[in-house]
Amino acid sequence: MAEATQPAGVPASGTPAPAATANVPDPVAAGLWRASWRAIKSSWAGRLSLLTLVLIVASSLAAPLWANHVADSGPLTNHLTDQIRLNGELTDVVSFEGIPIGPTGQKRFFLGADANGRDIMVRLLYGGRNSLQISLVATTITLLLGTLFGLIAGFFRGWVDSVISRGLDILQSTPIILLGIALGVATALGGINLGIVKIPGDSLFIPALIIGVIQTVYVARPLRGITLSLRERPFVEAARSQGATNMRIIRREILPNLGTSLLVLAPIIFAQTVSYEAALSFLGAGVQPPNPSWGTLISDGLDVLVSAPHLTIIPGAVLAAMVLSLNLLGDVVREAIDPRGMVAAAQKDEH
Amino acid sequence: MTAPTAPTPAGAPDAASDLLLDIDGLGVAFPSERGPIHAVRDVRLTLRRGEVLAVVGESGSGKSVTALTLLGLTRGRGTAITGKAEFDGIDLIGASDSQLRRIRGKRIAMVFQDPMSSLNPVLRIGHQIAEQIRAHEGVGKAEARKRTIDALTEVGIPRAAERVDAYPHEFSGGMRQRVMIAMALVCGPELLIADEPTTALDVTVQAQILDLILRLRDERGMSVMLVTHDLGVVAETADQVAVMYGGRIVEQAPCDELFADPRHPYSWGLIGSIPPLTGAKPEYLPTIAGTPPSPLALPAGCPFRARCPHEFEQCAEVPPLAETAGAPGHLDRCWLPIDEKRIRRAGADGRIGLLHDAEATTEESA
Repeated sequence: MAEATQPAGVPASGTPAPAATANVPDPVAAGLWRASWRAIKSSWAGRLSLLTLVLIVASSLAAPLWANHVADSGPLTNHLTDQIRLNGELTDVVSFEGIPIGPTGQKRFFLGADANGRDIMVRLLYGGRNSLQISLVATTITLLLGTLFGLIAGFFRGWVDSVISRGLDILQSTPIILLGIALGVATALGGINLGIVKIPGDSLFIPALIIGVIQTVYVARPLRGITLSLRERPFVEAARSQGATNMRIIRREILPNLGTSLLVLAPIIFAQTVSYEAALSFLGAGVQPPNPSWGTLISDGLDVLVSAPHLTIIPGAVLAAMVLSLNLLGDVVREAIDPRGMVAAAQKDEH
Repeated sequence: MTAPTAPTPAGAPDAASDLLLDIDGLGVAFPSERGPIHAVRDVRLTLRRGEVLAVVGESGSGKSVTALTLLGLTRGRGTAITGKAEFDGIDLIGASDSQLRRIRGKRIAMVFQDPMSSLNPVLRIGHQIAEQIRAHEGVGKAEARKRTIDALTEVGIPRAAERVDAYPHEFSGGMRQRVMIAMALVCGPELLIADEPTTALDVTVQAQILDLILRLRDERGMSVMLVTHDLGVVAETADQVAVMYGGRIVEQAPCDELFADPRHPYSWGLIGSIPPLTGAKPEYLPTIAGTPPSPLALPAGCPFRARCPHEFEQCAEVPPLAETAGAPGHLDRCWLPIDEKRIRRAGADGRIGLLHDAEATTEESA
């Protein structure tokens, strides 16, 4: 019975809140966003990673500006036979030996050209756009599906939970890159045709969808665990005693309590998505050429790795910076709003 | 079971019409790996409009389960619920989930033991209260908010118009319990079930909360079922008292009656273990020897048998809950003849107690 769990000797203050947490700013009190923002502002890791992210995102967004007003070249425009003036001399964009021009530091071909004479800077910016778009859509899909499945499985338990959890098991037991390649190659050929919904094979939505679905398990698992514990909390019983339906309990009582977990998981999932997108595109199962993305740029550069290493190094460095910053930012946010590591624990339990 | 007339509180005029809650033969058994756990057995209770019924007992006696069962909160997962529980003519045991949902919060409201954890930490309190009004009465947001503020004012929360937008952690324990009560009362329930509403609070706040519940009872004429293990709380608030032990009601009486003339040895033990306020202080506070029986292996016969110093052969059979003498509405489950009870319960110092030889025990241990 309930009173057995009541700690004896609760001090007369009537608030049995442990003193240890008194100094820690209550994440709920400050609001999750404000608490996260404060933590990011006050650590160099947070500031640095946020700055990097803002730079990458802003420059990717500004891709058309650079292309139209500075480089005067599109991401797919071929300059194989063009010549530009470099240090007063006319120079081939791609030499007769097939070696593309290196970084010029000028408006045109700022970072040099690739083997097809395309402006690397322009392609890098557009590639960032594509990669970020895909990652954003994929992360959204992952968070939505993961929350949905985690909530339903954790709340209803029983056979519903079994079906969902075994489904996630199957998803997880398949090597994630192989699954991505298989789905990516299959859909790149014919696109997705579900009768009403038709997505052409070269659409960016296809890799986003694949990555989004495959990663669902990393959100659904921890959220299922957290929901399992939330549903036993007294406020759920209190809501039920007030005549709340299951729907209302899920929506109004449990979902708002998942905010912390989602905010902790989101940057990690986003970082994972970015690198996963790059991996799939690198292997030819993600963004389809000639469309640029960080992954396809690295893959393109690989052919001329020895003669033009910057083609591989530059997109690789941007990718690494992006993923690193996201992970750093995720850590800062997690420490601010999940100091006791509840979300991390739930993740660990599930693996 | 014998069926004596329903206990009538002194001075209640029209017995049949104002009967709000009628529980009879209620049993609740939870499944477990080692067989069913009979948490509640053969409980019979009645509650009139405007009456305060206290259900007393130690942990595991089934009092909370009884309360939760009325709202259907023990349903599911193989729980076996038997017997009858009628609320204003509505069968609470057989009611569908959706029927029950319409009653919960609207006609029967519940206040839980721990206000710290019964409020959702991430939602504003006003939101949590308004949500309920809107769920039950389909009123608009503005109207719900206005009523929420009124309800908070009514339970004595200062500056309710501002506090309505605060989060639970911004309230003290007593204030949170007031919020819980406001939440329970906002839809004007006819029955308030308070499951140890003051256990988590300190004594002064406890008194305030009890006063609040009683004041609202008086103003609204609602009935209160107060689940508690605190006899002090019972004495202050209850009209009727039911003492539970091992899932059964062992004694039921009007409040004054119970304290003046307790009939069941378990009640003697409970009353005897209250520290005396006057006279010589005993060196050791009397206790009831032994531990509560495991609900998995309840002794056959009287549930209190194993701990009762007055046990005799007949106790192997479950005594009926019956009126033993004179006083109408005073029922108990004990085979001892009434005269014998009155002799045996008097302690050495003249106080009511379970053991004759309380002094002998203290000497031994000293």
